[in-house]
Formats: sequence, structure tokens, C-alpha cells
Amino acid sequence: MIKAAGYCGNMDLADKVYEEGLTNYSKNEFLHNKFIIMAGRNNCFDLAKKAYRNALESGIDSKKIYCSIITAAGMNGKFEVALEAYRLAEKNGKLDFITHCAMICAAGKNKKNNMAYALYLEVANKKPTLELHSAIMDILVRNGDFEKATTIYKNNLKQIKLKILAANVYDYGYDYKIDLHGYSYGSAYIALKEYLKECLATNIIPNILIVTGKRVDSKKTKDDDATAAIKEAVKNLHKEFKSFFDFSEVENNSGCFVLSKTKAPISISTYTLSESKNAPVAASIPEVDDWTQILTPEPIPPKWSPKATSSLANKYKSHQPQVKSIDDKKVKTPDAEEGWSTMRGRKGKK
Amino acid sequence: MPELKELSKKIELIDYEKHILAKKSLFQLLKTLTVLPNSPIIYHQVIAKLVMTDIGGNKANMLYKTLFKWQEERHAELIDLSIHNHMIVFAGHNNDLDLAEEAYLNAKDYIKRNPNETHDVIKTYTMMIDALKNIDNLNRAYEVFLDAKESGHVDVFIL
Repeated sequence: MIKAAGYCGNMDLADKVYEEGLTNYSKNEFLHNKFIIMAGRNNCFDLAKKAYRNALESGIDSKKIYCSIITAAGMNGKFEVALEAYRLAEKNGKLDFITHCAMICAAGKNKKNNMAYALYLEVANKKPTLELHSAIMDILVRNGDFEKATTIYKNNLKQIKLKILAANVYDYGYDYKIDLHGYSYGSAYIALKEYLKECLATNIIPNILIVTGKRVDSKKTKDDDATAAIKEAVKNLHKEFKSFFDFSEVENNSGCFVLSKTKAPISISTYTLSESKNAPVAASIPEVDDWTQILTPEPIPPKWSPKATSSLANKYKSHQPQVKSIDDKKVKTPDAEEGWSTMRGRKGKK
Repeated sequence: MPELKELSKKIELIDYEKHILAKKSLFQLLKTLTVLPNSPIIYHQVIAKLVMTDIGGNKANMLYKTLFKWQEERHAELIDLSIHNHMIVFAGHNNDLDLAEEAYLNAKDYIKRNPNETHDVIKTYTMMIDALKNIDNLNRAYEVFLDAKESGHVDVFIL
């Protein structure tokens, strides 16, 4: 109920239900956590802080609570509170890579880019993950620091490089498929841009299906924040590369784009790769209410099948930089690792 | 029943992430459903898979409606609470308030008829609130919450 009220923007009702819940469930992490997330999302930071204090006073000392308050504080410009919670989590041994990501994002949103970068370097040396790279690349790209973001991309290809999957035989008409689940605006932008540059350099432009997030029927449902950010990245890349590529939305599923060679008679060899000058910078960092939202488990890609490619794909198969098989595509998610399941989406557990 | 077990295993193996493959397999299964024994478990599995594949959603809805007909014809209980719950979730994802209300009413009816089956009851309320959240109908969601409180089916997750 708190979640429903929070999503509909009615924090008074959410607060009422939360206060009622305290009678019987004051020691339950779920109650406080949900409320902190919703209060943060609705810019009611005082309420979030109240629930955070309640949780601490009830003896709840969990990674989830720290992560949620850091995210909420980051979203609401309360960097000091985020830092305080982060230090307390560190002192109590409750830091994990999700909390690090939350802190990096909080720092980025509050214009503490150097601190975000320093923290990233510290953590990435110990445990580099796609999420960590995504978080820092998002901050860098949104601030126009494409060079540093590209360096991170090139130094961490193992985690960030796009997996170009063989299209399933049922994905009619496409040669390959790129799945951007788990990417942020920044990491999707840089990874996709580097791939497009590779295509231009080799003069090979296959017909590719780009999956930006969960399936969205624009007539019925709205994008979640993670999908919206990736779509923004794809659309901005389109602006930059529109002379060479066509990006079109898949009918009845605005979560997917089709990338193909433009029909305009332009010679690819004339293209000069201008780095950051023309690259559009996103207006703002989207709000993310919990980490499972941007760290959605990736769907298992279809196995390679000789029948699965069209003649065009066969023609270009030998030129493809990387065609990954099913086993290559395993990204750990908080759901899988921490059991942080949420009620969001079809994969969430109640 | 070995055949039933086989079928159940087959359904579980369908990977819902491979949407179109799942659709094909499920639709093949649907053809055989008319001659299936009276087992709500199988229908529950099929509906769950159809709902998860997105594209099978309309088929799930059709099957849900057909099950009521088969129930009458076969004089057997084919729909359990989890089937109603799945339809509530499906309705929420598709902004279909009418279907959500229909499934919720059916679920409540089922709960009334089977007061000893407490399993999944809280889920019904939780899922209905979640579905109504998706449909942006907060007032109705609060009514369902009050319903749950009144019936004594409240836990921390419904909060």
C-alpha cells in the first residue's frame, strides 16, 4: 500500500499506512525500506529520514536501509546525510557494491564528481562490475566528460562491451541483437557509440535489434526510469549518427529499436569521427527509486543456431567482432546475489 | 498420473524469456488442453506462463474465461486462487481495470467458498493493490487495503 500510495504521489496516505504499520512491524526492515524509497522518490526527504531513524532505533542495521537512505538523500540534495549513512554502513560492515553504486550516484547528483570518481576507483580495483562502471560513466557522460568515460569503457571491455547476440530465428528480419539491460545512460551511450564507430570503420552495418529495457506498449504502459534513460541514450546517438544509421522504434514495443543503414546515399568513408563536440548531453539524471530497477536481471539470450541468421548476417558473420554464446552473458544482479527481490515487474517476487 | 507429470515438466521447461518460442510451445499445448484431465495445477502453470510471455496475454484471458465454461461442463474445480491471482497481475500490467475487478471478485468468491485454504489469500490483496497502482487508481487500492484489514489478511508486505 505504501508503494502504491508513493507511486501515485500521495505521501500523506503512505505515511498514514507506515505509521499504522509501526504498531506491529516496527522491527521489520521491509516496512521502513519501502517507505524510505517512496519518500525519497516523492521529494519528502524529512519523511525518509524519519523512517531511517526509526529503523536505526529499532535495531535494524541492514544494507538495504543504508542503500535506500543514501539514494533518497542523493536524489534530494542532502549529500551530507548520504555521506553520514555511508560512513555508518562502513563502520558497521554493511557496505557492498550496491551501496557503493548508490554513493557514487549520490555524489554525482550533488556535483561531487571528483569524490564519485575517487570512490569508483577505490571500489573498481577490488570488485569491478558492470553496475559500477555504468554508475560512473553515467555521471561522466552527463557532465560531458566523454574522454574519461571512453577510457573507462576501453579499460573495462570485459564488463561493458556490448554483447552482439545472434538474432533468434523468430526475431524476424534482424541479423543481430543488442541487449542493453543493466546499462545506464552513460554506459549505453559510450558502448553503443564505440560499436557504431567500429561499424563505420569496417563499412559493415548490419540490421540490429536494440533492446533497451522491458517490453513497453506505449499505448498502455510507461517506461521505467532505467529504460527511459537507455532510450534517451539511443535517441541522442541517433541525432549524432543520423546520416549513417536509421533508428526506428519497433511497432507496439517502444522498448526496442531497429538500427539499420540509412537509405541516404552518403559515403561512409567521408565520415570523420568528432568526439565530444557534437555529442548531446542528457538534461538530467533520472531518479531511481531502488537498485533492482536499474540492475534488472538480463534475459537469457537464445543459443546460436545456423538457421537463426538471415543471408545478410551470414555474409557479415566473419566480420563481427564478438558473437557471444549463451554462457558468455552472465551478469550478477542484486536479486540473484543478495536476494533483494522487489515487487516490481514480472521478475519481482512478492 | 505419469502423463500429467510429463506435461507439467514440459511446461516448466518452457523458458518465458524466449517469448516467441514460448508462445509457439504454449499454443501447441493449448490445443491439447481440451482433452486434459481435471487438474487446476496444469491450468495454473499454463496461465502463469502465458501471462509471463506478454504476447500470450490474450490467450491467457481467453483460457481463463474458457476454464469457467469447462468447470460447469465437467463439474470439477479447475480454477484455484493462484489462477485468479495471475489474472490480477496480468490485468495490472495491461491497465485493464475491468479484468482486474473481475478476477478480484472471482478470487474473493473462491476465498469465501474455501475458507480453509489460507494459502495465497494475502497475495490476492497485495497483487490487487499493486495492479491498481499500475492502473493509477489509488482510491480503489486503498479500499482493497481496507478490505484486507477487515478480513484479517494483513502482513507487512501488504503494507
